[in-house]
Amino acid sequence: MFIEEKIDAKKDHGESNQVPMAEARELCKSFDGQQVLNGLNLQVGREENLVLIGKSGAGKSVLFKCLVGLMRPDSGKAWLFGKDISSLNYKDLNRIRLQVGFLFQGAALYDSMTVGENIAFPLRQHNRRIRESEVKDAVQEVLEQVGLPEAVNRMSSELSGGMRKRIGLARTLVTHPEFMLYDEPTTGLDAVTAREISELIRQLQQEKKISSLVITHDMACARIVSDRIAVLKEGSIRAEGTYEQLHASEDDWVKPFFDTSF
Amino acid sequence: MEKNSLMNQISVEKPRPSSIRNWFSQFGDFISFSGRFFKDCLRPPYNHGEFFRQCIETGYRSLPLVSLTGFIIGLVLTLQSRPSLATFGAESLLPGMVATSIIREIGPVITALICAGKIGSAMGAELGSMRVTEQIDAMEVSSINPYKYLVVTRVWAACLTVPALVVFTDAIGLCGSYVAMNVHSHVEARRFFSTALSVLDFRDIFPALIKSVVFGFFIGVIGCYRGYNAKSGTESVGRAANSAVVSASLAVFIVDLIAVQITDLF
Repeated sequence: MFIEEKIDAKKDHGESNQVPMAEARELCKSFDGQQVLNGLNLQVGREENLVLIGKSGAGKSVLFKCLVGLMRPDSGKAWLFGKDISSLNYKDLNRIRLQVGFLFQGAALYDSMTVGENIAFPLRQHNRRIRESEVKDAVQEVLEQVGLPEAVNRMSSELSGGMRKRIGLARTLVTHPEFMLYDEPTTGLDAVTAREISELIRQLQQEKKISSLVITHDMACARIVSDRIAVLKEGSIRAEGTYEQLHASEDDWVKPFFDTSF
Repeated sequence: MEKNSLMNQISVEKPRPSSIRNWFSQFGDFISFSGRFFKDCLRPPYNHGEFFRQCIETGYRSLPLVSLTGFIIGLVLTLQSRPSLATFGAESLLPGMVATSIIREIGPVITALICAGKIGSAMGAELGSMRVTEQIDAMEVSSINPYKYLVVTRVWAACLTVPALVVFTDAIGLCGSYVAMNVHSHVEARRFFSTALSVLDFRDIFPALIKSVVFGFFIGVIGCYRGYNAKSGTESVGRAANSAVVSASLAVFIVDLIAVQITDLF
């Protein structure tokens, strides 16, 4: 365990198997009078991968930001590990965030740092007394996990889109999260790399027991990754089910997402 | 109290008010943003590595620019003032006059304006770019306080390096003045500098240094504020850098005006 505060955090939340990893209750959010989230209800269980699909602007990324406290909902509650995040002070919110990994759409790698420094950054920030040898081992371990052990000394500007996503994933994995949020993990990648990333997400769930909430427009990724899929329409959940159930759906809104004939 | 601090960390979208209300709202945000520096600046954990990196960026890399500017200012001021003083036969007062002008006013203000352009725009653009590419959000969700890591280190660096650059500019400016004196006549270096420095006392040097620290604070905090609050889109990065320079330059003049009034009281 590289992060000291995480030990306490685990005691406080997340030990009970009954508590969902993340939950949104009647979540509403609007921008300049435009309703983006409209009474959204959602729950992600333990060791579950939930995929969220919907048209662009349906409020998927806003939901992510509300869940991790980067945005305040206008009304409704967002819960992580059974805690209402709007009721937490900054310190407690950060303790909860230590259990959560967030892969941003553009990977959000720190430009001024090398790949190794990017990955080591959260470790060094959360444990000031950590030894350099421990940091090096942890960085190497996650780089091997994402299949890029040779990239440690490269600058983030030298990386391709797929490599950036993998390094972004490695940076979140190094803190051993219990719950991952993936914001369009395969967008902009070729079919082969997209499949590799999707399989990696699945592998993390199966081997590391990491639950996740995945936003994607890539139905191949949704099929590989999902235990359950939720379809978003105008800020609320229109349909929910497994890939097969939704694929067979006759709903006019749901059907086009699974239609591969065009 | 703690809940309030949480609200400060979360970006809260507000309805667009009218332009006057908007100005006051922004000003309030800026006061709150600056206030957080005093709350966080001495509280651990400390980011020494980032602080030293910023000192190199803001201080060391600005040395060539402020050196050249300081030298030219000293040279030009001496060449311009010499004929007027010569009319009254007061050429011997020239080193003292130039030293007082440079150390009390011109050195700090010119250096601060250069730093507002160089450091302020760099901070605005860098943090703006980090905001747009979600790097600041990435820090936030990793439970790392981005304000402490990015803003506190930069403002501290600006507060320390701007006065150091001012001292350096003053020294180079006096060298420029010495060179200008030797264009028309031969003056020994030792005599020039002893005459120039003999007219200075504590009341000339100390307020100028304090003023430089305040200049550094405002340049740092304005640059960071503009970048940290950049909106989405690459256009906003340019706007953040531009407004950082304009606001920081204006702040330098306002602080100078206030500092002169305060200095006059003593």
